[in-house]
Amino acid sequence: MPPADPSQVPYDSDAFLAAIIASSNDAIISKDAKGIITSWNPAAERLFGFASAEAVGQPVTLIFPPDRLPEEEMILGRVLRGEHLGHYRTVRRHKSGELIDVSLSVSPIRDRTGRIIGASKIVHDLREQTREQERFRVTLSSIGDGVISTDVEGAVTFINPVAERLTGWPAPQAVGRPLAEVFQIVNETSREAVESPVIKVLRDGTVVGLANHTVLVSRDGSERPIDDSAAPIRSRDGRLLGVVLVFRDVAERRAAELVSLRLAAIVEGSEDAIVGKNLQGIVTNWNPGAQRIFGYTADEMIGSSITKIIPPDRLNEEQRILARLQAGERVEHFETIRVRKDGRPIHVSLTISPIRDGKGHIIGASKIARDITAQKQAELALRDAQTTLQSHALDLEQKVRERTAKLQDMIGELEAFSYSLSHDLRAPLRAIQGFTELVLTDYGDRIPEATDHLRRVVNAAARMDRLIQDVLAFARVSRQDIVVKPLDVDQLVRDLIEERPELHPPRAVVEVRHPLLPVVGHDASLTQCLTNLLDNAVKFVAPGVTPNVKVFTEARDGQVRINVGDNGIGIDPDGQRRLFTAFQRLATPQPYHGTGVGLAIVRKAAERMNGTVGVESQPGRGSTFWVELPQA
Amino acid sequence: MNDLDPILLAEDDETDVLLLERALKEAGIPNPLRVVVDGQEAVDYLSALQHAPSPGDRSPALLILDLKMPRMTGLDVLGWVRAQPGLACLPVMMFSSSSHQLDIERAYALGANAFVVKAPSTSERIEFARFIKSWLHFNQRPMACTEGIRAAHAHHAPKT
Repeated sequence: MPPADPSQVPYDSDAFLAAIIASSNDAIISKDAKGIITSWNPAAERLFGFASAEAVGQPVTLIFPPDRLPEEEMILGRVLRGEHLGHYRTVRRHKSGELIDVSLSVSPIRDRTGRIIGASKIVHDLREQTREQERFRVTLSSIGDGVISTDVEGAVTFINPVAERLTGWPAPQAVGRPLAEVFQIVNETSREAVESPVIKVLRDGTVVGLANHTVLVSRDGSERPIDDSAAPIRSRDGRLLGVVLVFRDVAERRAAELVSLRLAAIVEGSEDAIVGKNLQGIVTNWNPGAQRIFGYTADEMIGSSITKIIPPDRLNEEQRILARLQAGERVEHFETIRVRKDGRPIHVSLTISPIRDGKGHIIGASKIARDITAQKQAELALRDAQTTLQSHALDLEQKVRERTAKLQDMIGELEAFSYSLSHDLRAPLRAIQGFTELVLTDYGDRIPEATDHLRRVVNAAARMDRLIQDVLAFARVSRQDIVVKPLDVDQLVRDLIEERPELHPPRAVVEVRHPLLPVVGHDASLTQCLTNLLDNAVKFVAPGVTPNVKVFTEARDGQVRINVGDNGIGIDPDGQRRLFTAFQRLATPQPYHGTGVGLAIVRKAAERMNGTVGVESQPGRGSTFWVELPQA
Repeated sequence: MNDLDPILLAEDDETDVLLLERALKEAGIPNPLRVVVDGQEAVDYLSALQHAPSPGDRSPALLILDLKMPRMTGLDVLGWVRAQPGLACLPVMMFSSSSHQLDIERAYALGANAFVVKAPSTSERIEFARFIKSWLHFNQRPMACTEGIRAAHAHHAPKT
């Protein structure tokens, strides 16, 4: 209500009126019809800085800023027409020149006849109010939430920038419109229009709290979840002046809630144990996975020390882990042992991360424990298997070593055997042959009928000795380490023939087709081969035939074939097959019996030199034995 | 009394001794044959000869060593002989049943002068004995070898 119209006050209470005017907080000024100030109360003196004496008698334009001068004519005109101006907001000027926001109420002053003789003007200082309002406006504008105020009719009187953005309505367009147009809300799920809290406040006059799951539909149709609340705006005397509506976009919070809900669901549903604890090791969270793995329920663990599940001999681990966490480190895939409620130890893999508060301080740890008992058992089984395998391998190695050692022993024994064979076995033969020959020499002419028998003894002993020597030679070529190198076969054969009288006329004719091609072989082994072949060639001839031997070489595809051809008795195909195997008896007439080892020696020696041997023969038409070796 | 240096034969096999004796005789070797039956006896004989020779003892013209003998083998004796200052130049012939290559290598490494395989036949044995005879006849020995023992004789025994 505007202040009381002085014109309505009874005229006879002058003194009382004067007192009121003098004590008013508002400036009360009167002026005549010409606009000359006629009274100036103390409040006016305070407001405008002019003393009463300075003001009275002056035109009221004294307190007008220049740009407001036309107002006076308008005001005066209206007042003189008998109109009353209430709460006219304008600007006036202080004596110092400072502009002052004021609210004017101007009423005509009439004389007893009712003629208007002047005007009374009550000037209310709006500066304080304006400052307050301005502060309020600034505050509301800068607030993070959307703020809209309405008048008692529900028309928008103010909208702050956040609300402008959220609703899509700029202030100039929003102000004056019904709130329902600017602030459209529907239920998040039902999509039905929700009663504006403002309506509720206007109806009930009470604060309306947050409505849940409300969606604000902005001017462009976009929607966002909001929380809102509304409160009545009341005057000092309690009159409802309007409603202030505060709301905020909760999309982010809603999303954050959703995230934490999901996280919670993940934690709840995890197969792994997920445990929270503070820096004292007291459990703060315990998910169903932890219950499943460790056997303790959340009730049993939350508030207890984590050491409940740590075996006594690993308690120091917890200290180390806490120390690392306090240093801000993560502990990843730390494999250790924990104890279930039932006392059973289990293998777990721990990943432990620090938990920080909003300021970044470490306040605890999250621990993810995975039961790796099965995996560990598998590992152990695997390790066992590996160990077993390894021990088998070791056994095998040991056996191989033992066998090798045995074999080496055996070879050693064989060497000793062949050594003693060559020495001890031959000594009795020497005795048999030697003394038989002595008997033949000394007494042969006295026992002519016994000499044939004694000669057979001598021959048998001699053949036995050759056999032993052949067997020894065979063993030697099988065993000895040989190193092959290029050999001058031509020279080798030349020397070999020269040394052996049985290869010379008249006992035999040996033709060598010079030059013989060089080979890669082993000197002693090749000598052994060729000696044996030449000996055979001159030995196995028909009675009365002079052995005729041809030695020649031929190049055959990187190999050299050394041939020894004879004019001997020849060998049938069956014999050719068995020829190079030791101790084979061929169906040859008695005089041609060899030891059965010579050709085996040849083959073995050739093979040791990476060579081959062979024979081409026809019974009665001679044989050609050959040794084939790599060409030098 | 035969004043030729003897042939010392170290051989444990009586048969081989008899056969060699017979062959040497048949070849007509004039030098006396001294026989010891194992390696140790050979060493004893040679030691005695060096340190306390009896008046008739003479340094062997040839030492024939069987390879395989009890107590000390032929190679053992050879090694010992070559380590004796007075015997370093004694001709030593190894006498073996076989031509085992390793034995031949070892024998020559120890300082053998010959390595001969015992012949199984009488004719070969006699041929070998004749070779010994020729060798003894034609071979010249260094003074150091013979003089060493002669000097020992002069020192220990009165002249006969």
